[in-house]
Amino acid sequence: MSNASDCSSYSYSPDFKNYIYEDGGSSLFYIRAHSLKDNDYNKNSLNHDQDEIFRHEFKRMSLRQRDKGILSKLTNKKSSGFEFKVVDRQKYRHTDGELKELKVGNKSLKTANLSKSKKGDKRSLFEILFNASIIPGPDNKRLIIDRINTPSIFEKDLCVGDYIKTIDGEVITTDNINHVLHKIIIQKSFKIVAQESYKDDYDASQEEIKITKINDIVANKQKLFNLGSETHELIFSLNIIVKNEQITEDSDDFTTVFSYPPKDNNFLHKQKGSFLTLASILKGSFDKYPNVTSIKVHNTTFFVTYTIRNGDNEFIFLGFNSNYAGLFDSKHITQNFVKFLDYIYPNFIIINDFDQLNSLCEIVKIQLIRNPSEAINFEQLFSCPKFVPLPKEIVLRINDALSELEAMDYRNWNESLMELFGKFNVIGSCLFYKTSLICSHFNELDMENVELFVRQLCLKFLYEMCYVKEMAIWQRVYPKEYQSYNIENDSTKNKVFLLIAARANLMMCVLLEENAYNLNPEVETQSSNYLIYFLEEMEDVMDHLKVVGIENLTKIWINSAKRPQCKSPFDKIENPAHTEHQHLRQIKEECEDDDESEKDLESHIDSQKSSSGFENEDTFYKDFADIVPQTLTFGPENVLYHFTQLDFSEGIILTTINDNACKPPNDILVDIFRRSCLSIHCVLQNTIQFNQLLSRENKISSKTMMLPKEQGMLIDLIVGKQRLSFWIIGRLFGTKELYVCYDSKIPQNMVEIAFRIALNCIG
Amino acid sequence: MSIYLMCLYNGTPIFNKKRGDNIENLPFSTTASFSSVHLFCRTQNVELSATTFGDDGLISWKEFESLLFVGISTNLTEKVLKSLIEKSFQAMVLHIGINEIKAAKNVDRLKRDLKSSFFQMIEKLMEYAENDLLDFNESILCHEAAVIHEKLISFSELSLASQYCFLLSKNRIICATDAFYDLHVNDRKLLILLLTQSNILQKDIPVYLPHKSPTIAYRLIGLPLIQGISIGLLCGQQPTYDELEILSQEFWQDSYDLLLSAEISNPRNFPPSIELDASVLGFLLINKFTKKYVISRNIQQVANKRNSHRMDIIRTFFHQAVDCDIFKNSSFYDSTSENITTNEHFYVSDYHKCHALIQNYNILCVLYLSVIPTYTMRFITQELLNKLLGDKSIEW
Repeated sequence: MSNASDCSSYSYSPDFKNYIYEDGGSSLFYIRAHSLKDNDYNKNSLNHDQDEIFRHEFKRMSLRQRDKGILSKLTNKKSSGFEFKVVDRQKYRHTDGELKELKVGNKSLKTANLSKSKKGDKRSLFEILFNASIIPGPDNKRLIIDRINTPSIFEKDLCVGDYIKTIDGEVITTDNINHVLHKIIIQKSFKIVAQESYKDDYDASQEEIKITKINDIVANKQKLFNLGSETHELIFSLNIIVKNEQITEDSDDFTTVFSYPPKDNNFLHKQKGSFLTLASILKGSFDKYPNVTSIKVHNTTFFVTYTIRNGDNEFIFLGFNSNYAGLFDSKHITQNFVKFLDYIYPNFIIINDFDQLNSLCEIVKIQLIRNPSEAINFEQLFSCPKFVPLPKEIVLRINDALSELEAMDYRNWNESLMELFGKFNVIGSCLFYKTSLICSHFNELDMENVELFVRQLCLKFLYEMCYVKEMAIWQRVYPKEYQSYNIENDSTKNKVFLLIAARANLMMCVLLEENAYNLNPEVETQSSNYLIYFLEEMEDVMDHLKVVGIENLTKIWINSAKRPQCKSPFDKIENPAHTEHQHLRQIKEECEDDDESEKDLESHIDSQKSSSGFENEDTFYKDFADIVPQTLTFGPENVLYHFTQLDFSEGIILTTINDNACKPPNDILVDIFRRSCLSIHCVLQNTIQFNQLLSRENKISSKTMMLPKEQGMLIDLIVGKQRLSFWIIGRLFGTKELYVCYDSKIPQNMVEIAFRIALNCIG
Repeated sequence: MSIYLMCLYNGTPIFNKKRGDNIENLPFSTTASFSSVHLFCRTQNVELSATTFGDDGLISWKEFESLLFVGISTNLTEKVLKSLIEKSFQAMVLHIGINEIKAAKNVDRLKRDLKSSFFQMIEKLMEYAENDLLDFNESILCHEAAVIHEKLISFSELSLASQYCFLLSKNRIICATDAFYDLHVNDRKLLILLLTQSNILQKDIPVYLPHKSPTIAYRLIGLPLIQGISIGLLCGQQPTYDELEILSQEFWQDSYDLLLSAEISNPRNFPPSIELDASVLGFLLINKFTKKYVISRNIQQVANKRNSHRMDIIRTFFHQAVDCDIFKNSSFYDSTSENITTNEHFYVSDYHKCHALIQNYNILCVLYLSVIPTYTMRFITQELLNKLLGDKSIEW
């Protein structure tokens, strides 16, 4: 396989080796990340290597387009003669920084005058047209805005330092700028896409943060996650209490094993007696366990969740401030957190070192702070990763790469790898692109555990908030769900390792199990050496994926938002109250956009095929074009606003890709949708539970029970002068739950079709 | 469904009621524990409000004055349980007034003051939590209502006693004076409940209205007119019961036929002239403004013992889907520029379909056969709503 990458890892000695824990290498935690410069949530810094590759590609693209000879003759015109007007503006969050797209209307098509006005004018054509000057960037290819004069149509939207990415779909370089400009001035409207300046991030503030233990995340939380100053209120609390086996006279019946925050400033710990009493009454009188207790302290409501296990001897109380987590969230976070602790500890009740547990609690708190309870993030409540179906060709290639790794069919055979071969079994692997799952070879149980691991350690949040350069993690884990082939049949005796390696935006997770017959105390300490090999191997695979262009194709696929998506209906009307919100919407509205992104892909494939050796470009192209519907609705208007599908049997969530651009406080529609989903979800869950009960006991216990498998609501929303009416419907299909939000103008019998398409279009 | 409702004063129980099939009384130790947990929290400045348990269990604590109410229920929404607790306390106010509750020092004295009708009322309220809508008054629709309403107003003027008059068919309101509708729905609910459950012949009962006048007592008078129909009114010290009884007999004498034909609507609860679509199994019409409702089933559909089951389903649908404020706790929606309303709801299950239409202040929930296509429900519901409200002679 090709290893022609400039950033191949062979020459590089992994830094993480120095950070392997001394206790026989049971865990490794190593992340290099860049914090983003300022508080702008939407900004993403650009990685140098990444950028290099992109630039190469764009260069190729531009050459290709010039070769095509679509250039038109130059004509000149004086600047004052042009009446450009920005008719629409959009901002997208792109992996490499914010993209600003301006749709410019051209009222005057007086092209003939251009040459006249150009005479004696030393300004560049760009300056004449837009009253702003551009200079070549450091690479001498790209064009960066140098100055914006007044009046200029760019005044409001672009700033000095932004670089002009495309105009009317053509990638702009120093070579073709004038050609393109001449072409567009005879058009009624055209689009300019500029990318936000990144140089500041890049030069000064790209402070690299090295995380070598979990506590480093907490220590660096301000830098990493841009959190504001700390509040003193109680946000999250964890109390682990065990019943004493022997009751002595001078001690209580119960011992607090762990308390976060520490006992002295944790008033929920002082309340533990109440919770224990309630648990005992309910057990005694109703033979049931309590789930959640809500209490009010100084006008703030707190939810305390109960996890009681091991024959009612262990009590785990988690407390949540209702300003940061709702009732439903609390239950889910509790479930997930406890599952996660079970996964990484053989038994977290009896661990000796509580420092790590403290850090993990801090991390939960960080995640809560970031998400005030007003904004319900329905999709993130579940322990399923967000899955993005990619075109078949890409999926095949990723599958190949992962399978090779799993089969230990390494590219660089040598003696030490030979040993590795017999040492471990690979249970499965998966690949994330940033926070989205793009390929998984896990069953749903492992997938859930891996997802929880990635999420609870803040790795996803890290990806959202930072630029992750490198990541190397391994951790011995204790999956309880399945028993493997060790002699005692005890899951805690299995040596299972979760390995996570990340290179820039790709993150790969692999579960390895040490072969039982190899269990030999003498060689046990050596396993870390083998894991290093394996991590390197994983990094190799990711390098390979990058070299053959999979990473970039994935990036383009995700960013061009080819999936059916939430298109906000409010974008159409210029609503002064909402202009602020609009820029956050990463939503494409018109057909031209699709053309453009398609062109992007097309040119990208063209540029790829020379370097990556894709053979059958025809099939490939077809795959891109046909596989996933671009919108679910036809006609001039978009009527499907949002959809989400929970698939518990496969353990994945499908939803609109770009929904994280609809930042919660702004997008009312998304918030309404999520709230409704939550409400419907509870109803559907009730149905599922009751059906299970019915199948077991075969009798109906309650006469008022109604078991809905579908619920819908018609909602009227008035924003300013605009009135919008839409349906939100949730439906249960076996283990799948599908939620859609669409315009109420659509006849309801068409909904069936929509449901079906949505079900089948998962790529 | 099961409900336990208890009320304690300084840890001593005032009442401890249960409702539900095959459930046992809670031992005193358990009751005391529930109360002591709440007390313990209070000493730490923590207010214990609710705990969920099992699949659908819920415990709710609520303190009024120095009385602690604890409600434990399964398969009841939180809203209903809280409403039940609130009404239980208000029933107490209705009987003895808020001042006496505040001044209470002795549990035995308090229990003695609360007459047996109070305890009956608590049981009835617990029953209502299951088969009634606690926050609405049940009424009936009939063509005669408009004429009867006119008469009721003139009766109210003639009697010179009260502007608060209402006419009941069993416990359902046929019509009432505007002043009566101005009372808080809880006051109305409790008054009607007290009047209909009372067995005494001469219904002249002193009442404190929990919302309108918790400290000064009124007299609640019930006057039977014909079988099943009675008139209720609130008045001060004058006139006497006897005077009112004579007056009412004279006044309504010539309207007995009218009243009888209104009574025919029972138990259908809506005029026989209105026909229901064959796919409709039953409906629930709610007026959010006056807080009253009409519930009915389609008697053309096979009548069997499952009829009450259908009513339960409509009520469950209303509680679960329609009557929940999912957008309540959000700062998005209370700003004046943005407004959100839910206009329709529907449920689809294997056996039934439900559809609710919300128009202005009316909510119409309809239960359908499962064979009906989902998209046609809304048309039938709309048509039914138009039929029910289109008739001017029907007072709504």
